[in-house]
Amino acid sequence: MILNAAAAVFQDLGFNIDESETDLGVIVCSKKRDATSAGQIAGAIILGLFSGVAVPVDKHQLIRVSLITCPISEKSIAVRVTFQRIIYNTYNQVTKAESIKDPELYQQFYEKLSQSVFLEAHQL
Amino acid sequence: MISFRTAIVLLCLIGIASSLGCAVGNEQVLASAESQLKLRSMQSRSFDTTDKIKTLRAVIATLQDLGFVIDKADDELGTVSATKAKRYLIRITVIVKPRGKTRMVVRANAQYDIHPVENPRQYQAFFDALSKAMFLQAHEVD
Repeated sequence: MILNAAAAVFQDLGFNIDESETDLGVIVCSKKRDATSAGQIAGAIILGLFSGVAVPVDKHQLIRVSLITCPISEKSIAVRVTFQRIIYNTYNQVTKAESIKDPELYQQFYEKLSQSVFLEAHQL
Repeated sequence: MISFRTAIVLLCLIGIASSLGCAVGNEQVLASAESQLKLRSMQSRSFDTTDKIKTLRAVIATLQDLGFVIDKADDELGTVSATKAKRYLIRITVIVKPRGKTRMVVRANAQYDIHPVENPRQYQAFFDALSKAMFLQAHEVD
């Protein structure tokens, strides 16, 4: 049931499911989104004007997430989630690959998950 | 000796170069442009059947009819993910789950290149095709 609720949250957030294994309690999903920032583009234009060379800027990012559930007692299940993102520039080179380590983001995710578990339990 | 003007220009360049380093923040991770409720209702339909496997088979057949190649299907979780190449990659995930004792709810979400698909007509087209494949009428989900 936790996995169903999690899959619904991922759909809400626009992720597509890449892999799932119900017996092990694993869901892996990803989405591709814009990664341009106005400041960076402005900087690249000015730097390009001075140097006369086109300066690559960040273009898109692949956001990946894996969610693993593990029974810890007869009544409870532990859920662990990991987000990461890989940023590509206009030359399609990886400019940044990082694990997301923002506690607030994880907190927000778990709030959405608890809401979804509630909805799932009440078949809404 | 560097003139004052050259120094200012150099400083500006350093500033610009360092601003190049700052990438876009994490806001896209949990973001969705449309309201969650609106998105859910355009992406979901219910069908009067209790047969999950039959529904999943119909989903797969419909996706294939629409030119998608299936990446992943999981009967237990009720998910199907597929990709279509049409200038850019279109990725779709469909989740089928029972609602109550008489219905199955089908929800689809898609992305086109780097954009989430948030146009109700696109989803309507998918559900129209699915409805035909299932020989069942698709109901709006409240």
